[in-house]
Amino acid sequence: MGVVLALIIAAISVSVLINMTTSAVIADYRSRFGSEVSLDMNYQRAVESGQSEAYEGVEGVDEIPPQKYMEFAKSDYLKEVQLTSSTMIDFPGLKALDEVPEDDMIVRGMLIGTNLKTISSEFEHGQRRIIDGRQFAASGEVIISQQFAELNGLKVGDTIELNRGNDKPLQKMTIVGIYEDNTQKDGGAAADFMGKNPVTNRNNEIIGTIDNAESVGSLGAVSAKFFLKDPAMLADFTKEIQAKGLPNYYDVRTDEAGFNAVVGPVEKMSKVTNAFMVVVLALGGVIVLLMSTLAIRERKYEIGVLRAMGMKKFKLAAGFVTEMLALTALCLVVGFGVGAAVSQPITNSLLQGQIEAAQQTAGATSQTMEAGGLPGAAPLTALDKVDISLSAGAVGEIALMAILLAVLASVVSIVSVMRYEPMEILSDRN
Amino acid sequence: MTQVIEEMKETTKNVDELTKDDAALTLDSVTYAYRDGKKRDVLKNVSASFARGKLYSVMGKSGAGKSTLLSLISGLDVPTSGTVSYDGVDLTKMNRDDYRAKSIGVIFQAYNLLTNATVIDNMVLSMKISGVKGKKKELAYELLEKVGIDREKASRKVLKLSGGEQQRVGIARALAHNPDVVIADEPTGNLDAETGQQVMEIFQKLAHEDGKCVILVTHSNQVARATDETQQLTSGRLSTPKKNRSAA
Repeated sequence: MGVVLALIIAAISVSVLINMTTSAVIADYRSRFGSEVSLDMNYQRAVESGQSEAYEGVEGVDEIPPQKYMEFAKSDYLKEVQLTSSTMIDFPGLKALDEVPEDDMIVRGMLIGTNLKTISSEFEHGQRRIIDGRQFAASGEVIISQQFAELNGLKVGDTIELNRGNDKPLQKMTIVGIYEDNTQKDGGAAADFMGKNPVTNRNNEIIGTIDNAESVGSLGAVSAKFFLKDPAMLADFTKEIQAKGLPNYYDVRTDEAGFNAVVGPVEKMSKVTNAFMVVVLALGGVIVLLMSTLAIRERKYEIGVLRAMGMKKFKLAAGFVTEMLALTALCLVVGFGVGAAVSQPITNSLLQGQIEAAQQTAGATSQTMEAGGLPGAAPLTALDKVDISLSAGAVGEIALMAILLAVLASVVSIVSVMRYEPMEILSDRN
Repeated sequence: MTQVIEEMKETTKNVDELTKDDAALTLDSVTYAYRDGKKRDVLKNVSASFARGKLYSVMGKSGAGKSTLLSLISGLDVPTSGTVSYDGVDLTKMNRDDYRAKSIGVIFQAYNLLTNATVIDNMVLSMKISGVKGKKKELAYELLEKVGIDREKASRKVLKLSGGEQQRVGIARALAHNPDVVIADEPTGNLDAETGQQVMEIFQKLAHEDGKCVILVTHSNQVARATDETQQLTSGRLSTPKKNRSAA
């Protein structure tokens, strides 16, 4: 019985370990692919609805008015919103890098309004670096480039006045930090490509909160990235932003095709192991029931003798249950050990099988699949390795299933002890 | 033996309490019928009483109902009608597990030992079930020695013993918890004449010196003659007790 129980637990261990690891992988990729929402205009629908004229000459998601993005960003379905506004501005009395005085430009720089997370990521990745002062934190606070500061003799603590050019109202901003822009110390690639222009020179960018951009009277161009709390919330989020004014010729979607291309084989493998686990549990339960019935029949005489000696039913049943639990504990250690040892090679083999099946279905010759739905996107490679990890949750689940089997076996013992009359057993035997 | 039993008396409370009454066991109009569809009475309106300090024998042919009587007295089964009382209390009204564990010792014809366990383990387990305290192993060895089982044999598995030796272990185990009533089914059936005689002497001592109520179920006239009283069980009915002259 011990050997069979250990084998059943080993099979359960393999299923649970694969299942839990793949579930974690799927959840991880689901959150990566499934949480970032893209708002794409469906031009055909736009034309059909006769609304495309409203945005004639403008393409892409920027066609949604900036204020709408701000409204969409307030949704409870979102875990994160990355907003960046770019408003062309002027700073009367100050010089701009790449400025040509005779051009007499209305605007000579850019006010970047952003939420902290976006700007943090740019600073985290080393594109920009604070070299003096600190990062902006509140409305009215800005950071400027080192070159812009040197050009105008500005330092941390100074204030600058900005407007949208001409005689538009001026807004005072306090410089709280000075950054170094590592992407274009001398004007950068953009400047090389587009020619010298103070507006496109990143060193003329004055960075602060979204509120700053609003305070100068315009958000300018807004780019937004929305991340759902749960990919399953996509439909609700779509309804909400449509109610807030998103035209119905916009598709709101996540990258499902990319997700399927990368995680599809793992997901299928997970389904296989899930089914396997159900079968093992059902079959294991029946086997354990049968085996414990046979085992208890062999020990019927022992029950008769002990009951004849005056041992109480409860005590006898408790003895059998304890014995079963001890056996299960031993089998759990052995079964789990075996299961943990073989689960990685089994996973590799199953995953390889699923990848090959996916390739055959797709008619592909390699493991590389095009991500559907994202024209021009880089080819996505299917996950070809899943590292099985032992988590406390997996161990707990396996232990729980082993206990379930022990309980099943114990039920047989308890029922037998309660049912058998000692005299009957001893008479039959004698 | 007496010394061993005296030691055990200290740890088994109920025995001291129960020795005050003479009639340890009483059967009152006991009828037992098999419940297998066809109603077949095995015992018919049997009444009898068994006192402490006496050695009884019940004789009868095979199928007469001897084993049924034994199972009712030992609390392993309950009568269809009538009552079996221990110290005036109906067995069905008391915890029969406790009764079997503490008040009565049963010596089965088929020994009913745990064959895969050692002799000493059988003894100690019985003592544990009965709640005997103290040095159980030492007490067990002493009891086994009294029935002719030495320490070497006591450490063997029961299966390795002869039938006669197993019978003696069965006797020792029945006495392991110093019961008030001892019943035995063909206790000398598997023993040679000499050991049989020794065992009978043990029963006589238990009854006459230790004040136990000892009931033997037997085919043997010789065994019956060594008891104080004999009753015949014929077709489910128990005869009037007959005193035996040869009894001590």
